Amino acid sequence: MSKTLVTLHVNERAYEVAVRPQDTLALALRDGCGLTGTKVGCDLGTCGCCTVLVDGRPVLGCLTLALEVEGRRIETIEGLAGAERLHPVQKAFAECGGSQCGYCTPGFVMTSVALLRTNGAPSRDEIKEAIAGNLCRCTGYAKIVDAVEQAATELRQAGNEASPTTDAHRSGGSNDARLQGRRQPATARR
Amino acid sequence: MMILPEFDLLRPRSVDEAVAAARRTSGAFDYLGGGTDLLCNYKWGINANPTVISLRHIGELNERQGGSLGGGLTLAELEADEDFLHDFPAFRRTLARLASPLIRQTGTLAGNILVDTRCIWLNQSAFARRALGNCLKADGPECRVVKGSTDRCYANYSGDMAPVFMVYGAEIRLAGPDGERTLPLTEFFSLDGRTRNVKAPEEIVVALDLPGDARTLRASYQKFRVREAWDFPELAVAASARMDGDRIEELSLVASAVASIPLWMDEIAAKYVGRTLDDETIDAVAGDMFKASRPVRATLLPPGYRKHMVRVMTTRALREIRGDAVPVPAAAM
Ligand SMILES: Cc1cc2nc3c(=O)[nH]c(=O)nc-3n(C[C@H](O)[C@H](O)[C@H](O)COP(=O)(O)OP(=O)(O)OC[C@H]3O[C@@H](n4cnc5c(N)ncnc54)[C@H](O)[C@@H]3O)c2cc1C
Ligand code: SF4
Ligand code: FES
Ligand code: FES
Repeated sequence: MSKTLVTLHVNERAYEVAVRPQDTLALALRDGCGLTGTKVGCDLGTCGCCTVLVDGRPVLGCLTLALEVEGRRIETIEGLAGAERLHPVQKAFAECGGSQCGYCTPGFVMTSVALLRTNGAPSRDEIKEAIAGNLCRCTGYAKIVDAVEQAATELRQAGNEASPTTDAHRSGGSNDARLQGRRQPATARR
Repeated sequence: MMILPEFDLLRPRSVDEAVAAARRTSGAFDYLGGGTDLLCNYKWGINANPTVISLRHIGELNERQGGSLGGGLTLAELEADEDFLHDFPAFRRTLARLASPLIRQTGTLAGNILVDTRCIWLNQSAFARRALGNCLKADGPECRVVKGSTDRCYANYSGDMAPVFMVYGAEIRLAGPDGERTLPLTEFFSLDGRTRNVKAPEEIVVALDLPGDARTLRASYQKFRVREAWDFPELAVAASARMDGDRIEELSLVASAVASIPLWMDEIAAKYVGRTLDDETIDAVAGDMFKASRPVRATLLPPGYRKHMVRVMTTRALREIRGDAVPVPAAAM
């Protein structure tokens, strides 16, 4: 099937990507936009590695067709950190040992960011429920739950976790701010 | 990485447009809801078609009014609807224990009702299927589970929402080339793991309608699965009753995930109307449900064990309806 040139709005930046109808969002992000932070594990909806946010909701990049999210607001792991500082969720995963081999981590972080935007003070059970679709073979989960709890506390102390470009923690200069307004065409290489 | 086969993707804006597009394909198409079932099957190379018609851009499928729920609503949207959960409380736990929270974000109500039947011989890579020998449902001459069957597939119905809608007395609304029709959900399914239901291929599930008096029913859904974080049911029992004190005025029962369709046990239910919902009645209903369920080896767990668990889950469902505290596994790990 022929490729279509579409604009994907990822991390507040527009990417022009050539996709085939059957290309998943995970594939378009990795191969088309060069955003390889989003991982693909099972590719069948089971592991949550490929989780990204679409209009603020966590969705599985491996079971979402790229053409279906044309024009929607997509956030990936690359959009979270500022130039000099990690997002509090990323920082907490690093500090609590919530990441070992790291392959599942982008998915867990994106799911956790979505949770903390809607529930600033989740209980441990609520955290476990929210991350039930993300699998980790290394950590045993306890440290991941610790990390989300720590991030929640930090975010509450710092005020609300707001949208990526307005986050208080990003005052050191965020990737988004740096890249805003720049439009870099990219083409899927398949 | 699992590779999706090539297909053409159409994105109609209305039900009429979608039905017209489907007709132009001469049957070689699939509708796409959230894609959490269909795209897995496509990645496994199971019965993929050259045209996929997405229903995600059709506003009329997302309408919700009281007990009338658009087929395009996501499971997460239903889970967040406190009015709906208040009126039909058995859906609260059903939704919380259906797939994973991530899948519920995109999985739709219609896609869940129509979720394809599953089988350990089928839900494998094309390579594994070829090595095992293809079966009747995908490119082979006969069923591997019920050897010798050349006209019926015994794959397992694995949707969690339909049994609950059935015991609440829901109707399903379909729109197709000949206009709209509505039928009781109990008459929707047909016993073959390939065809699964009476829907014409071009028909779209527009909505599920719950009757107003369903709000006064007491209902329970008891699901048994291997992995509590996100698994399909290995078996499930749905029950509802209208009670007059401790006397059963109305009873509905479904044994699900023990056949290719959710089994509507109306004859068993009718036997117990007028009886007191005591331990003796509960044991008798559970015994009848056990006898009437005949699972085959299409899922992970042995059929004998699943049959036994129908008795256990029926008991739990009726006890919950009676108001007893019943054990509920945590949704997450
Ligand atoms: C890891 C994993 C775990 C899962 N666990 C469960 C579970 O525990 N319980 C469960 O019930 N399901 C489970 N599922 C299956 C599936 O995710 C859900 O059933 C989901 O609700 C399917 O909805 P969908 O919109 O994604 O369906 P799709 O994949 O889009 O479609 C499913 C079928 O319905 C058809 N269809 C969709 N919408 C319409 C419509 N409006 N009109 C006509 N046809 C339509 C499609 O053509 C297709 O045949 C699981 C899936 C995965 C990957
Ligand atoms: S029940 Fe039989 S025909 Fe159906 S998928 Fe399994 S092996 Fe194939
Ligand atoms: S890669 Fe998407 S869920 Fe595993
Ligand atoms: S850190 Fe290795 S899989 Fe989670």
